[in-house]
Amino acid sequence: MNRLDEMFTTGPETLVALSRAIVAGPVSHYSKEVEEVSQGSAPIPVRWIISGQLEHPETLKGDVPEGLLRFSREEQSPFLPAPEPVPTWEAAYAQWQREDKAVVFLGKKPGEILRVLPSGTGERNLISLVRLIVSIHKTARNEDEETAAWQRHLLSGAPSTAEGRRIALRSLLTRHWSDVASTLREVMSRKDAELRQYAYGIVAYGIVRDKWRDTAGPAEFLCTQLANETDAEVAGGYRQYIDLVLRFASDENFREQRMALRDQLQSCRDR
Amino acid sequence: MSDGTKPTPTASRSGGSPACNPAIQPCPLAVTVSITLSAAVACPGHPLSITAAGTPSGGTYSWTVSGGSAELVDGSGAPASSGPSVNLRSFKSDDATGKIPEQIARVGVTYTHPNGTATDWKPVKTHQIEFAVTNKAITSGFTEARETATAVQLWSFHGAEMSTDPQVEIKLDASCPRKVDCAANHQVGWLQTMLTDARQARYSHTLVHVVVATPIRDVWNATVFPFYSTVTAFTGDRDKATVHHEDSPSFPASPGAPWTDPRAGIGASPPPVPPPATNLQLRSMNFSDTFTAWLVVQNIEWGAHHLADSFAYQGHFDWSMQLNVTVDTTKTVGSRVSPKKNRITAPAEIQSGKGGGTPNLAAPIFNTSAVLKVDPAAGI
Repeated sequence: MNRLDEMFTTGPETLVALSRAIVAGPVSHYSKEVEEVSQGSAPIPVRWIISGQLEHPETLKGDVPEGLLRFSREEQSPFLPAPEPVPTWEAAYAQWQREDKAVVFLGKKPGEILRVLPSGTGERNLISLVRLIVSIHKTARNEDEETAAWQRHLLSGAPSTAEGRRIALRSLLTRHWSDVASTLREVMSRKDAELRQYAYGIVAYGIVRDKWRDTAGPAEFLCTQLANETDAEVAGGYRQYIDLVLRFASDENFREQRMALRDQLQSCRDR
Repeated sequence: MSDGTKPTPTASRSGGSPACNPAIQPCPLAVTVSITLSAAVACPGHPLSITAAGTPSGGTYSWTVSGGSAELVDGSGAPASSGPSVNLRSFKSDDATGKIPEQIARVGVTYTHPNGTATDWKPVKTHQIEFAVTNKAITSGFTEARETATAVQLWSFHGAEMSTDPQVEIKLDASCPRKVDCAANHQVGWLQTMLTDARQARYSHTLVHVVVATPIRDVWNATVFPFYSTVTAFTGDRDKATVHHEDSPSFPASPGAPWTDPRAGIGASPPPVPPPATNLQLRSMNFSDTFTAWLVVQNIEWGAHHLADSFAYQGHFDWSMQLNVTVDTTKTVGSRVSPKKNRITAPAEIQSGKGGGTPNLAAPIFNTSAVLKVDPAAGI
């Protein structure tokens, strides 16, 4: 999966959907075994294994598994390159902290553990986030209702994490532009620069992945928001997304069809 | 094309016996041989079965081939030069253009029998393949610094640092006898070699650095050796494949370099604690990489036996990224790192052919070969 798809289509909701069952709770018999230390004259741990046992697990999704749930998880120093791609959203959960609870994502096969992630407080409160995702999945009867629920979550001002708001924005990609434009404009009026950039990026992504039949509205959105942005650093990020759309619009196989989009964005980018 | 199907009696060849006279006694049967091709034209890299029929029976066959990259092999692909049947295969691309030019090989056989020897030869054409590459634009993004409450990471946060989506069309020669199979014997993807790498985090009394021997093969989400990422096989003549390539080097991986020295409190001589306030603090980071990427079409069957020569180079480009930053942890998060970003360096478009470099096709890759070194350093 390329970086753009990964940024705008995956998140904890992806892992939740893949999981047959999810359980969480405090950890007993915690241990951290260092497997490897760095080279050089002042070595530090480089690779280690976290292991433990889930105490009084709370079922977040599916059926409660029988018996004790033991787990282990490999971690490594962030200074070492990751051997395999790790989803961006998991960055907050890359390093286990001693007081963290465990969230265990179980696969379709009996005993299969897809992933074990730590859950802390604040932005690292994965248990609350999974609860929210599961509750919206449960109550919605179809994709439209689910997206509407995420939109309400985004606009309600209810306590939420940054990842919760990003999930809500990702869900908008499945709706018609006319159904999501006002929500996106509201998000762009907020002080949260990270969220504004993500919302801006998701509109650019929606255009290049043909999520919306008519690109005039989304393109106008990109131009207007770029013109309104007062933070130069954030505006620089917006221009990177416009460049992405310009490359899409310059595809030699669709030069004619995308000419209007190209002209529209080129003029507002250079303004 | 045959030049040796006439009998060559042993007596005549040795010159020591009188010529055969059928009025006196029956002459030995004439020795003949002739070559038959299983198809009029060979496909690049694909074995073409060639059979020789020698008479009278009981003789032995000795094969030769010349011209271009052509070679004779048996059914398992091992070199072959005897027996009544061999396979010819041939593949050679033009590094400057990415084309697979037509080749003509000369295949010869000598049939040796107690009655004498006979020879035959045939020219064998391996047809050409051309490729058309469009959408050569390369997007040059940024390496950015993102600060959190606990760490800083140098990466791209608005899509890939470098990306490109060229389209490659395969154009088989009209003479190709097996167009679908021939196209499917070619897969398109990217090779990338990391030429240099520098990754350092400097704390007040500690140097954390990544060490790797370069040049080294680079991969990400790879499924087929030695490609950088996924590959696409063509499905027929004039099939077009969009061949995405992107890279977003990061240092460190998530969640980033902690603001405080990871060596704090570790070992017999840990780094000194504050004061001064700079002690144990991250002070600077250096991060730079250089790469060459090649857009290649690989002949799959040829690649099974001659990996390094199995690529037709449709394009290449050199690119690099660098973000060296200073860090001041006395400032608020969000304002500690300077500069905040730097654009990568890459040409506007993919350039033709192989270029001057050669991809590293050895097994080791950067992500699993790099090691971490941590050393005490003079206080700053």
